[in-house]
Amino acid sequence: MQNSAVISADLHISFTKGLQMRPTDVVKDKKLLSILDRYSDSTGPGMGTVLRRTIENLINTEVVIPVIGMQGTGKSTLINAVIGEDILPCGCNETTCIPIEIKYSHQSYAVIFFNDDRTPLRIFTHDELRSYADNNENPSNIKNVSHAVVFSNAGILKNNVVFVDLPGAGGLTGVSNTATLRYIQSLSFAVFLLPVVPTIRKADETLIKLAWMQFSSAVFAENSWDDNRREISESVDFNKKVLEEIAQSLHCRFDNDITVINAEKAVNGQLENDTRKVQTSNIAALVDKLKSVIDNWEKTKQDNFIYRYRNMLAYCKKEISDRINDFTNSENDSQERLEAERKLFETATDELEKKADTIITFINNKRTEIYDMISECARVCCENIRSETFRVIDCGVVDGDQLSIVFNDYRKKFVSQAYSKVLEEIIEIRRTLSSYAKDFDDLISKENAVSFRSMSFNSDQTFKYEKGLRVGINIAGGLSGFVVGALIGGPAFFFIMAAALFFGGWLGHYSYSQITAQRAVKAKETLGPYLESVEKNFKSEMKDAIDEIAAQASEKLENYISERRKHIASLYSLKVRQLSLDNDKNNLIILEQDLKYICTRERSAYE
Amino acid sequence: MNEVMNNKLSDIKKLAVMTGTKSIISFCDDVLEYIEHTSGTVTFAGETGSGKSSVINSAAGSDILMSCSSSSHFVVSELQIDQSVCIPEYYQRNSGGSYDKINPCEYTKMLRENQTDKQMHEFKISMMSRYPKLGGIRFFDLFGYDSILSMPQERFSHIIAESDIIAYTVSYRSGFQQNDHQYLKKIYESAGKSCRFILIINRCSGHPSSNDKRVKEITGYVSDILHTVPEVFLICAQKIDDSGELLAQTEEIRDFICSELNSDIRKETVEKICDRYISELFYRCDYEIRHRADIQGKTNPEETESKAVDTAAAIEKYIFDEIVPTYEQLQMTLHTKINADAAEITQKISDEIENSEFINMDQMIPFIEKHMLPFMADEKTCELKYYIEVQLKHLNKKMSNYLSSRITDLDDSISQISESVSEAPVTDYRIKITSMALSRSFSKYVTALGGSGSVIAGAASHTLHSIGEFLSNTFAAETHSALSTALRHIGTSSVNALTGAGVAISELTSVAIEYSTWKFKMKKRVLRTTEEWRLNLSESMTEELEKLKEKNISILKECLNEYLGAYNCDCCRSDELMQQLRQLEEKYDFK
Repeated sequence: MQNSAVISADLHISFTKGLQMRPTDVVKDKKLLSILDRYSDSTGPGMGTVLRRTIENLINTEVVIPVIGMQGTGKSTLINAVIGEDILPCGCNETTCIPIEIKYSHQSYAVIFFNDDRTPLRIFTHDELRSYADNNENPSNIKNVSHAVVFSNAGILKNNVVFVDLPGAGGLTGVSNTATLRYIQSLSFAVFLLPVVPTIRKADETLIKLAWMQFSSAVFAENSWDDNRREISESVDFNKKVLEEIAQSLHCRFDNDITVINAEKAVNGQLENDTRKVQTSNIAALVDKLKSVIDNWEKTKQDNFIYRYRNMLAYCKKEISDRINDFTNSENDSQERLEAERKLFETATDELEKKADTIITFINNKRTEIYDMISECARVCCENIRSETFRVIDCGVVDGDQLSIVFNDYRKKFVSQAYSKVLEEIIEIRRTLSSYAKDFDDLISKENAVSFRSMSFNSDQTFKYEKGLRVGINIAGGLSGFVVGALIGGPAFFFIMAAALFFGGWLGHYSYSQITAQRAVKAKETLGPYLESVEKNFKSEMKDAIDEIAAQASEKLENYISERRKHIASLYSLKVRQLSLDNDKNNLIILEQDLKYICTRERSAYE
Repeated sequence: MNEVMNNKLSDIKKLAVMTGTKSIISFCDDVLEYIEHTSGTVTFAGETGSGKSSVINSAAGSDILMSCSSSSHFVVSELQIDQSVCIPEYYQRNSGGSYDKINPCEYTKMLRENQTDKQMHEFKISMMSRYPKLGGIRFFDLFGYDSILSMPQERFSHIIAESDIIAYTVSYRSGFQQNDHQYLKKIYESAGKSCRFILIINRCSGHPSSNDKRVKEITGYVSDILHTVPEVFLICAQKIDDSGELLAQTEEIRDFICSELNSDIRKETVEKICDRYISELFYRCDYEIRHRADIQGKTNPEETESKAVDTAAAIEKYIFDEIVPTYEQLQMTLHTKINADAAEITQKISDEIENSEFINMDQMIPFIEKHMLPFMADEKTCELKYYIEVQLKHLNKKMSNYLSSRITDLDDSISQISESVSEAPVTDYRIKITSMALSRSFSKYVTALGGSGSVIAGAASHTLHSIGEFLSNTFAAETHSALSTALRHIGTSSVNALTGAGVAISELTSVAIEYSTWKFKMKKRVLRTTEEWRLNLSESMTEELEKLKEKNISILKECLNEYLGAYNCDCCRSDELMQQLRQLEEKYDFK
């Protein structure tokens, strides 16, 4: 019989050593899962159940890797080159108009999904794929496709890797919210594709910042068509400087690596079986890089799993040992032990609640500040648009297409200026929030009483927003990751920002419709509602996004605290009841058997 | 400023001059300049013919500024109200920034003859006003937009930035013009955050109310550009010698000016700022003097001399290896980019012309000249500026690190040369220095006026651990400021480059165009205009970058020289300085 002192020593063992445990083995171990369930409290699903779900998630979750870049940079060609198969339609102008996912299967086919209720369509030829995915054959997505999934048996896709070819920024018109949202929710890291010429422009900065914020890491590549060596090296040089600056402002890490490839050469080389071409295209370097990032990602997930697993085992062990002890200890002693445990957990919870309140107050205060800033930016933006457009009207441009062009030129210019400003502010807030969240984390990880409930988060959150460096070893990695992620915004946020910047559609049904006033005065009057709508939309969309962020973060924090409270309550009542039941000799035998089993499992978890 | 502060300032000024350190003395000059004008600065701007000068004359109660329709080309007049001056004194500002006294008739002569030489002339007139409450205030009378373009940008920005109130004059009859639009935008760019704006609508026919359509229209335009609604004053048309009525109307303006400039908040803020500056000046002297005392006796003149020579050689090498090639490369790349940009602009506009109908020709001309061309040129210029900014920020950071490590090495090696005889180093002095931007431009301080609380923009207390850090901070601030200025100038050049060239397109309206040839003719003109834009912008970019390069190199050298200067000082002086320092510390209770 092990006494508690030894148990607690075990709990403080460093968790960094140990071989990989295979989740697939664990999930088959029914006995283990049922033991874990048996010793969980009754406030929710048992440990065994949670563990099983976690493993299922782990095994089934896809590693979604979107390829991001401006229109026409060659994303489809790149993916074809990486996969090694000419699978996506590509051409010199922007061709892809819907998101296309590439997944693993030993068969070759594709499935088209529609926005409405039509059943997904299975297709087998490139031409058919083109008819749905190519801009020329499905202009503005009139066929109402939500996305396509293409299957390939390329090795890199094994283990649930999914590449996504997202239509270039600017070409996303007609793609529904839900389609894009699906990707954002399961994002891991992204590939950013840059052209050699032009180098990153100021206007591109915002997109890069926005997208990079979502991912824990990013792989940068430059696609060269036929540029000379000097051009390429100058371009890489410059782009690295820009990325370094952006990384600093986002507190991301940039590994100072931009892989230059010639995607077209790679694809042609593969088609013609010309190994020299393939070699000089440098596609191998990119593939290697991707593989290593994927491996890291996998490793992170495994590490997180092991950590949780060991914690659960330790907790279970403690539970069983405590009950065994209760047999020999007096009722008073056991009662005291319980009380002490409860007290500790409660105190910790109180402190955490205080901290959570601080964070929530901070979020709410910031939200008000940002509201003001958004209103201000919207106002200034519209004043600028009006001022410039009226100026041009006064010079004699009063009707038709040209006035529309004038208006939209200025609208795009000033709205994106306003955006950048608000984005800067948000990035600042995010920074502060993440340091608060870290404090929160630290408090939790100091807890001696390893409560199973204190680690209960949705497992997918744990991996999603971690910033690569601090890899969720931290027990509450999920929370801090989420809070930070929440600030970046739920799916809505990303979409809204991207929409406004790149869809150009913000005026709703007003956009691009003709302004047909005949005289300057009339023209100015007619402009009124358009301007109002710009201001109104900007404000409301941004505020909605901020609200959602604030709400999500607060909700998560509050839920966490309330779960802990429930646990405290259960600690008390459950155990008290059990104390009176546990004096049966038979129970003692079961306990000892269970303990033995857990210990063997624990030992193998550390081998 | 009150008596106490005045004494404090003059004491510290003496100390500053005693140190002989260039950067301290120039900082001192900046402080003095600021303090000189704390009564307030009101700048009048507006197109030629808007009637500014008569308004100023009447508002200021001076009747001295020449108000004739063409006299304001290329002349900036500053009117300093000084109740102690009985007879007006005339000065001309020279290139060094100081004022030479001149004869009143020279002034009038200059004004009349000035049309041809296109040089900017700045005059200052010191005199008393009929209205004593205006004592101490200075008024600027700026010229029209066309002339602004040829004025040194820095001087213009400086005046605008320093203004507490900017009064823009528009003539009711002519309304708000294209030039007004550009002018106001330029003013907005440079104006301080707390600057108040006045809109004066002059020469109103009849007595329009504030609901008058035209008044509202002009106010609307101005509000949109300034992003704030200005105080609007309407002045009705008056005959030249009916000054009585005019005076009555400018009474309101005068009252507004006085209440703004003499408000309690402003007074309080200004006092705080002055105090802060004076303290900063003290701390700079403090730092310098203690540093010298610290190294006193530690150095050996010959060794220091040889170290200085070594350092100079190393800097030369660095300049040759890093700075010069970077700028050269930058110039080359930019030229390629501009060429590509110009071609793209021409192509896009040509396409637009090609695709349009004849019936649109009349509208096409302004569409291209007033929108497409400037819009695209602006877009391209912004990207070019971005490119320059990324490259040079990177270089500046490199140079800053180089400077810092160089000085730290130097510092260490000099300290090691001789045995340290001084007692425990005075470490506290390092903490006192606040990291205010050590740059010369004070305009951002002025912007803090009117706000509550935080006075010196962005002054965070910063522990500078070594003199290396201190100097590299100076370096960083100065190079950053130089870069911003250069970028701003480039932006202006782009606008200038177009303004001149764009005339070619509007000329088309006066030429009879026929259906079969109009597209061709228009495209040709566009090509010509874009080409001119490209050439002009290219030229000025090259010029600005050259200037910037030289400036950065000289900042680098200055920083290091200043550092070494501390080691070449005379020991006795050091003692004397230390004594003075301690005295002042006690007297004014500096902690």
